[in-house]
Amino acid sequence: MRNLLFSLALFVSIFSTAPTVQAAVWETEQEWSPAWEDRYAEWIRLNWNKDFFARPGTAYTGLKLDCADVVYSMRIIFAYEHRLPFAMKDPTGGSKLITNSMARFDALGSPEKRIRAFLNFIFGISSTQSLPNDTVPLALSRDSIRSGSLILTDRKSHHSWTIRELQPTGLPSLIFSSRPPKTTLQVREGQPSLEFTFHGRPDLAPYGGFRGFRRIEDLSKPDWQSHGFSDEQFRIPPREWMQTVKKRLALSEESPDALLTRTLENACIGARERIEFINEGVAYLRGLGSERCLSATEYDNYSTPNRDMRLRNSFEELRDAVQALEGATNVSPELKATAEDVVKDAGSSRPAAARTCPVEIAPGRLLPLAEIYRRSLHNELSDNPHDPFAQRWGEQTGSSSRAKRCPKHE
Amino acid sequence: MSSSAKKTLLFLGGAAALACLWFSSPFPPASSHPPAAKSPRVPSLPASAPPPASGLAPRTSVNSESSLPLSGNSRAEIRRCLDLDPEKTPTSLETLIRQLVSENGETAKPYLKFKNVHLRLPSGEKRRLHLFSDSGPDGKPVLRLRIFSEDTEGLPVPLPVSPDLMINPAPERMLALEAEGTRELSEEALSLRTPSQMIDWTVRNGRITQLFWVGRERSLGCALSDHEECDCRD
Repeated sequence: MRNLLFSLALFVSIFSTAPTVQAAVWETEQEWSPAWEDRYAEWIRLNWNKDFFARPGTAYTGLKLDCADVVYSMRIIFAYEHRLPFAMKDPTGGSKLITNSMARFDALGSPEKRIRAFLNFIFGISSTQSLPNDTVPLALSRDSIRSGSLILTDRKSHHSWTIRELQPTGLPSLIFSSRPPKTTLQVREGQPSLEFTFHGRPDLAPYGGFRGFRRIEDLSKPDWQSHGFSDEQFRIPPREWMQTVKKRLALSEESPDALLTRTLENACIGARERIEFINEGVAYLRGLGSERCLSATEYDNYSTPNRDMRLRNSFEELRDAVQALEGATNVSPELKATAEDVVKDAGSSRPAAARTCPVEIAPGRLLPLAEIYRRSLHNELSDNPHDPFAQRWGEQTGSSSRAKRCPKHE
Repeated sequence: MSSSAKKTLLFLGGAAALACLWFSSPFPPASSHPPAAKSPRVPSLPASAPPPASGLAPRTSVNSESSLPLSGNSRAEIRRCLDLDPEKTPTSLETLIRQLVSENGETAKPYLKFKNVHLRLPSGEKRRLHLFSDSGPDGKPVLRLRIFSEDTEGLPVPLPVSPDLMINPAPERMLALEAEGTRELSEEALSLRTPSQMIDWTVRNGRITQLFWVGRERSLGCALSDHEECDCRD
């Protein structure tokens, strides 16, 4: 008996002096409050940039994210770094919330490994489809819509953006990603188009538009009982939506120069970003030889209809800005000339390199933005991945024989 | 030593021994590991199977919901909010949708937002199928399939999915996956949009748990899972 007691005492002693086992991804030591929400907004504004996941030496370095991953990450990382709780509904139908208290990653020793594993886990279960359960539509005010809010599209587009900063003009500075997931994020200045966000009808797209994360205690409540819920953005007639929202969120009017600068930048960035996506598609097609048609998944990977639609929207926005400022005297002549070079092809006598936003679509092949603008608005850019380089960029118009022969998976 | 003291010591000893074994084992329980991404546990189906359906063809028709009754409370709220004739108050989701859509001479097919199926496999393991509408690489809508097991906390553990099932899996292949075990939960969220209305609903184990309607400059939201609540807004 004495031996048994000695053994038990030894077991109990070992058990009680063993290091405490981590029982969470991170321990919650704070609670969300209006003050923490303010700090969260400020943290997003100051820290959230397109290289956030590309910076070396952090727990998040090299993670690859799609659009919804970016939205969830900002909330999770801030919560982790400040010991706040994180919770979301289980999109796979489970009745329990998914929280930072989950024990699955206990075996991973360091906090950095656990948060990285947790983020990858969330990336594997979340999507734009899960965002409506974890967020609510917001009122159209700068108190509600601010850094850290998000914009979600209607079901047709399946996209989301993080608001890094709401500009004094009422327009958001956005950070986002898209599929396939990438480490370096993308940026955009201004409100995405009504067509893309709401499929043209805010009144019929109650899950789209400006949204914010729900309080954890609201996750089990209906939308309309959640703190911060407002449906006013869905009650604005479609034709008035863009202007009304901009005015409601503005502290000052956007100056003509700011309008031209923003629309020019968006068009230029959109055209230059297209280069990488077309190059990937063309290289993949070349690797297949000249006969085989792409499968539905391959087609999906390398076609660009939505990207091309967004580029076209940015050109239309630039065109509308130039038209709106026709005859205006309070605009910088240089800036006006730069924009008219694109929209009116006003600098056509100059070489491409000397014109507005030259785009090097292939080594040594420079196109002025004006030419891409023209091709985009004339539907000469091909989104079909069966087309070779020349058709993709509108160097040759009409479909290639392969594009005619192979199925379009849309 | 009393017998109860002995029992207590024995219990403590057992617990301590188990705890020691737990911590000294080179193989902690599977659920405490991050998901492994090695051998696929989801069987690959023959390559000769039909290609996946393209686009977002509706997998569920309104007719298939005909057995979904609307409870008395929600019927009253729906009638009040939609200004329906009391004699024509729909008793099922199907008649409500038919009434709303057909009165405007509109037609539309429901669109699957997501579908969750929880299975208990013959081995006793739990399996979750999560099919949801998502964007493809260029933002085009696709149906994407994710498959999970479940850990001891009741949370999903991702399993590898064979590439031919990832995007737009063919309905017959989904049925084959669903037939691999006993169904413990079935949940579907659908949406239907006409030029003037949007109707959105979730069905869990054959019962409507959420209903949302927008149209005629009015909206109605109903949460019907535990206690029924509706919210009508002008």
